Amino acid sequence: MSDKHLSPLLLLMQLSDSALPVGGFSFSNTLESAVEYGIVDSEESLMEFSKALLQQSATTDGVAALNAHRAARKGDYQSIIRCDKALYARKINAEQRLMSQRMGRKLAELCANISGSTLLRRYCDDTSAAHTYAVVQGVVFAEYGLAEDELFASLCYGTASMVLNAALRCMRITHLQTQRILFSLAPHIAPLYREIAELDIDNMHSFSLQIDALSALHEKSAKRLFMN
Amino acid sequence: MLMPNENRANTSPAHDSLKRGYLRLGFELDSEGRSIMRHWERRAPLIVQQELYFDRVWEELPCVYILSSGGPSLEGDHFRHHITVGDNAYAHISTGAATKLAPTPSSYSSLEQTIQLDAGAYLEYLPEPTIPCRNTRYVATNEIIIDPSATLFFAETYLCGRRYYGERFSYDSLSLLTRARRGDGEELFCEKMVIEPKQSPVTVVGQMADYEIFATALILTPHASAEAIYQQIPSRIDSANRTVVAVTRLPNDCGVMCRVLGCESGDVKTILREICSTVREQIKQRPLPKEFAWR
Repeated sequence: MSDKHLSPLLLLMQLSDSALPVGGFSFSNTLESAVEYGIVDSEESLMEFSKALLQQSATTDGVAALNAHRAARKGDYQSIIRCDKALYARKINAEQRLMSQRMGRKLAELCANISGSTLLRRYCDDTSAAHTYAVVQGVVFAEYGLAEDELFASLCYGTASMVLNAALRCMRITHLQTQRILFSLAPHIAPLYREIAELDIDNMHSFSLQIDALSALHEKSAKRLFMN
Repeated sequence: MLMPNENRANTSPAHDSLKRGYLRLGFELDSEGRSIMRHWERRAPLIVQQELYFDRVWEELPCVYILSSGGPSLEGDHFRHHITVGDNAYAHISTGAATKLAPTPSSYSSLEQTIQLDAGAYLEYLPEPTIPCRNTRYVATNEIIIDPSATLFFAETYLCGRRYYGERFSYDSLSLLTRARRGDGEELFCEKMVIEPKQSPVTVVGQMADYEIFATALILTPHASAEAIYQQIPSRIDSANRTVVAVTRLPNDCGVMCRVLGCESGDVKTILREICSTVREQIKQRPLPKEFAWR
């Protein structure tokens, strides 16, 4: 394999790694509440819950990330900010918003420091920006020369690996089972990409009311291992 | 995006008889400081009679019921509501009965609402549920323009269909957009739901699960009131009555949102009225009265 192919692949692996220091381990993406209320209690229900999270993430974060990626490729800073504000305004649940912003700011700082990209530095230093995670991912992937489908795959992998890693800490499930779920989720990603690839930022949408409710329930929950 | 069928409006066989209902309601304070419905424009089949002051707890509150003489919303029907509440005015708006959405085999029906609240205004908008029947396509757009000092309680409820006829999420699609902004254009939040049960079942974990009704109560109000209301509304799952109430803070510090899931419309309505009462007590220091026995 040549450097030309190896370098982007290694970058993709680095940015998709669950050990990337952006704080993902602090969040369960509402799984903690789902386990508390008995909605997720088995490998099967965890698989279904993960699919629902992927669907929600694809039609909101995925759309914002792809649009931010296109804007960054053109060097269109105002469009990046528009994507950022639009996604922030659509993060209706407070803890989902918190997760997106905390991880986004960490990723922006990290990549602005290691890449030397002037666009990333400008975005990172912009105190009026929301720094939503998906939009930061879009800008980072564009600046690193990674493709849209790679961005989408990384975003979905991040959503799935976050909830599955959290599952290991908050329910009775084995590494073998979570890896089996991760493997089984892969075929669902390409159809999601086809569903959202052409959507513009105004057409972000979702319908995940039970997830929304679980997120809100977690805010007032007495048992909190995770931040959402 | 939304729905590909949005482009098919002109193919509707019902096109010749479609309805373009329009309603403009404007509330203001009169010279004696009483809130009245100053502007009142309506186009059939939408009907609004003069405001009535029947609230037993708050006798100065103008109450208005929106009625539709044309029965259910039919294919090709497009209704518009434009509601304004002027400086320090207040009002309560509801509907006379549930809104049924009839099947739309070739096209869709829609409702477009604009709600504008000026400084210090207060509006309770608590309509009866919307019932999407089998094979319905429906687009609803709510545009809210609100002053930072105003308070809006805005609720909407969607049932799964007419259960008597065996309808459970057997509609084609609902596209529901709610967006709020300040007068200068600053966007506060935006939520767009696209529900296509025939494309992708909604009775799954993460979406509706085994619930059949969903409702959203938006409470847009200044920060201090929003915090007090947030603390007063308990988030809970009631397994016995199969209801969920979940409250969260909205983006840009513009208020809070309550999501309600349930299986019986009466339970959901009771919860929404409790939330509305909490809001009224916080803002106007009086509760919502008991609902009329016939409602």
